[in-house]
Amino acid sequence: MSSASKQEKDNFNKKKANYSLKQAQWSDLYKQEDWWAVWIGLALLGTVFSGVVTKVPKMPKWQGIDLAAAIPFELIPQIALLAIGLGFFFVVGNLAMKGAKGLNIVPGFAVVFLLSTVAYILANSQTAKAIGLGYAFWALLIGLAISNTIGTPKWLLNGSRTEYYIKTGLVILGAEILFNRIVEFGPYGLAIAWFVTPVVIFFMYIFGTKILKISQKSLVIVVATSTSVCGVSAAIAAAAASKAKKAELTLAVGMTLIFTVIMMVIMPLFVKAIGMQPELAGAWMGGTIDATGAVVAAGEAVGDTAGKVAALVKMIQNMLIGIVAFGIACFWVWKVERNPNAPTPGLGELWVRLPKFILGFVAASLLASFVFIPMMGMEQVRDFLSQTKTYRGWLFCMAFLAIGLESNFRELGSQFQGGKPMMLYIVGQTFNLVLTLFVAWVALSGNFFPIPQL
Amino acid sequence: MDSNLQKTLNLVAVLCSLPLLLFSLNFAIRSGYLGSTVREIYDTDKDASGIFWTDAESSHIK
Repeated sequence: MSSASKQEKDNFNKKKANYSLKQAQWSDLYKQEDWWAVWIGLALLGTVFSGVVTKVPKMPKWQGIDLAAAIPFELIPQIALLAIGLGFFFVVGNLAMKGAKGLNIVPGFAVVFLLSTVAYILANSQTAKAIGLGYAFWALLIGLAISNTIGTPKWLLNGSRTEYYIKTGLVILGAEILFNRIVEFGPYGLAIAWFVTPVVIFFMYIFGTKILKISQKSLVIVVATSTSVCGVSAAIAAAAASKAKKAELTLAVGMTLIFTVIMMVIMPLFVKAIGMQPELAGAWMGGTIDATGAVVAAGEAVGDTAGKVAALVKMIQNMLIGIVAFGIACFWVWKVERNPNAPTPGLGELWVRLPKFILGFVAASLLASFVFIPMMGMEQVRDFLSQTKTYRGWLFCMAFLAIGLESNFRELGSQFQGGKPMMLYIVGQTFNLVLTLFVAWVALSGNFFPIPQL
Repeated sequence: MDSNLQKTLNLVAVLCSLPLLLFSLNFAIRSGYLGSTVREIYDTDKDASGIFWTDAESSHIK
C-alpha cells in the first residue's frame, strides 16, 4: 500500500472514531455549514413565497452573435442586486461559522458569481440549449480553465464554497418535489419509474463495488444515481448525501452530459425506425435518458404522445430524488462510514451524523406539497417555483464553477481507474435500457393492461 | 517565455475558445451534422438542458 493511501486510510479511521465521539449541540444550529444551508435555503424560499421577491433575475436566451440579447443592459442592475442579496446570506452564515475571518468569502464570492454569469450566458445560447449543454458544463469548463492554467488564487478559493452552494441549492430544489404530482400521473408512470429506478441503483452499486471493485463507493453511488434517476440534479444530490469528492461528481456529471447527448440523438431515430408505439417509446426514453430537458426534447421529436409520456415518466422519476438522497445519507451513516468494530449506530448517532441539509431538503418538499399547495393552490405554487428554480440554478452554477476552480486534471484523471467508471455507466445504462423497455412494454403495450388515454 | 505569462496566455486562449466552441456547435447543428433531432430542437427553439421537471415544464409543457 502506498504511503499516500495509507495516510488516507488512517485519516478515514480517525474520522470514523471521531464520529462516534461527537455529540449534537445547540450551537451546531449556527456553527455548521449544513445548518446554514438549511437556513439560507428556507430564507430564499421565504423571499419568494412571502411575495417579497416577485421576480428572480435570470439570463435570457439568445441566438447567433447577438450580444445585446445575451446581456441586456437593463438586466445588469437586477443581476447585481441578486449577487448582493445572495452574498448577504452567505456572508452572514460564514461570519456565524468563522467569526470575523468569515468576511474573507466576499471577494471570492463576487468573482465566482461574475464567472457564473458568464457560464449562464454561454449556457443560454440556443445552440447550447439545443444540444443540452447547460450551465453545469460551462461553469465546470471555465473553472477548470482557470485552475489548470494560472491556478486558483487563495482569495478566490475562499469564495469557492462548493458544498455551501450545493446544499443550499438542494434545499431550494426540495420545494420543487411535489408529491401530489405523483398521484396526477397515475400507476403506469409509477410502475415504470419507481420500480426500475431502485433496481438499477442497486444493480449498479453491486456491480461497481463487487464486480468492478471500484474503491470509492461514493463515486459508484453518484454514477448509479445519475444514470437511473435524473442526471445532473440526481448526481448533485447523491454526491452531497454521500460526501463524494468534487472530482467524483465532476466525472459523473461529465459522463451524464456526454451520454445524454448521444441518447437524445439516437433514441428518437431508433424508435421511429422500428415504428415503436408512441406511448412505449415515450416511457422508454423518459425512463432512460438522464437529463430531464433532453427527455422532453427527445420525446417531442418522436411526437406529441411520446413527448407527453416521456415527460410524465421523467417527472415521476424526478420525485424520487429526495427519497434516494435521504436513503443514501442513512445508508452512508449506517453502513459505509460505520466503524466495523462499533455497534450499529442508533437513532441518536444517526441524527448527529446525518447531513443536516437533507432535513431542509425534505422539509421544503413536505411544506410545498402539504402546506403551500392546499393553502395557495397548485397554480400559485407553480408560479413561485418558477422563481425559486432560478435561485437554485444560480447556486448550482456557482457550485459547478467552484468545483472547476478547485479541481485539476491530474486529480480528475486519477478517478478514471482504467475506465472502470465508464464501464459502470455503460453496463448500468444498458441494464436500465433493457429493464425499462420490458417494464414499459408490460405496462403500456396493451397486452396486459389497457393503454392509458393521454 | 516567462512561465506566468505562458499560463496567462493559455487561460486567454482557453477562454477565447469557448465562444469558438459555441459557434462550431452552432454550425454543426445547423448543417445537420448532429442529427435531425438536435436540428429540430434548435429550429423549434426548445431547451434540452433543463435538469429538473420545473426547468422542462416552463420551456416545454404549457
